[in-house]
Amino acid sequence: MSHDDDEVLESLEKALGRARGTEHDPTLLTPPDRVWRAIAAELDSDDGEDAAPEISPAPSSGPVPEATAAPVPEATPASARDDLAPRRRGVSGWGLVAAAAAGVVVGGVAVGAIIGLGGSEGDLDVVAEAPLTDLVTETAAGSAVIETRDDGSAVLVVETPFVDLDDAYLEVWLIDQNIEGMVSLGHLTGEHTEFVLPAGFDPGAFPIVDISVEPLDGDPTHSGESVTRGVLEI
Amino acid sequence: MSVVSVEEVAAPMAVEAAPAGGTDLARAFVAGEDWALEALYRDVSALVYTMAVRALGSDADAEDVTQQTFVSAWRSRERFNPERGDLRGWVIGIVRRRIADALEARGREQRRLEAVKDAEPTKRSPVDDAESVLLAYEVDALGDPRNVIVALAYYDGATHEQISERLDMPLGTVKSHLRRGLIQLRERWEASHVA
Repeated sequence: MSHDDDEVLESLEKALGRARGTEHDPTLLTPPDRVWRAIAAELDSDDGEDAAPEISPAPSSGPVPEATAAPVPEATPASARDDLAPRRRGVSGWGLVAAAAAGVVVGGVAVGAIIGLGGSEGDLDVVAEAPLTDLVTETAAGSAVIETRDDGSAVLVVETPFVDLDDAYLEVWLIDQNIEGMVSLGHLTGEHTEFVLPAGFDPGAFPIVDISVEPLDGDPTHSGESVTRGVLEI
Repeated sequence: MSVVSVEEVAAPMAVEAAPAGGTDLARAFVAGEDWALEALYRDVSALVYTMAVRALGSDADAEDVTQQTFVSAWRSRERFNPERGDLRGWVIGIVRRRIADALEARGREQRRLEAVKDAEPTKRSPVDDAESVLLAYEVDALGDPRNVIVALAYYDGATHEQISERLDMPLGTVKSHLRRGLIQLRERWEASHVA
């Protein structure tokens, strides 16, 4: 799996390397209508019960039939592209992010997913939760949850998209309402990172979950470069 | 220590509800609802077709590959897990394989005809050209201003300082956009390359 990840990263790096010195041209070509007709015709000829989309006018042109209009933007592929950015963030490959973003009921969906990941449900009890937001795009970026374990310890579980940075690392903080006091919990090390809270620590006093980019400069204080944040609801 | 402005924290941290189209579309697609295939085609066919055109250098071959991609996606839709994957990325994974198949078939044909005996190896591979289309698309999809910042850094080779100056944007903000942009690109790349 990590081998695949390496290959993916390598191919992205190569693509970025090839981009250097070329023009960024995101223009796309629209396939002719006959391509859609050929697809519909080929699927129509499939046997069996779940055969085929009925042949309809090429969806890339003309008005969208009413039945298909609701779930998708009425647009040609070219203009639909403009709508993709906000939409695709909601359906990113990260299951939890998608769950948190798609369900406004973050509480139900995300916690359920986390419990599923975390193992047996009986072992933990969610006492606080914060949907996380990417501060730049203002879109959902996973969640942070405080769970108490059977042994009484409290754990902050952070589920958020993660990437290794070359010259910096991601650090997780809990910050008070006045943005005066803060506690560093440590490094974010993956899409799922757990931080055991010290006994007696009152998360209610530090309800802001903050993820910052910290340069490798040995300075233990917050860089001021927050990238993700959420507020715990306890 | 003041990390961020009070306004920033006072502002509601509401999670924007993502338009449900994405996951609903994926579920409907797997369930075999016709409109989902149309919607998917409307959404991603231009990207699929453009990748194929650039890689294959032939409109006709690209049309074939586009057709094969959507037919194949529909017929194997039950193998897609809408809870785990990204439908668009999954389709891109299919077109990448179809392009590779087309190039492979073409290579076999050419070897058979010995038509490429003296052909110089091309510097850029056709697959790279398709990847470049995808990258341009994904960078664009980062949205303003991140797409501009990432393009300046990686296409134009501008330094962080140059971007900061050119866009009249604080250096830290530029760096933050670049880091986040790369994170997003990597997520998108994984969605279409780990399949």
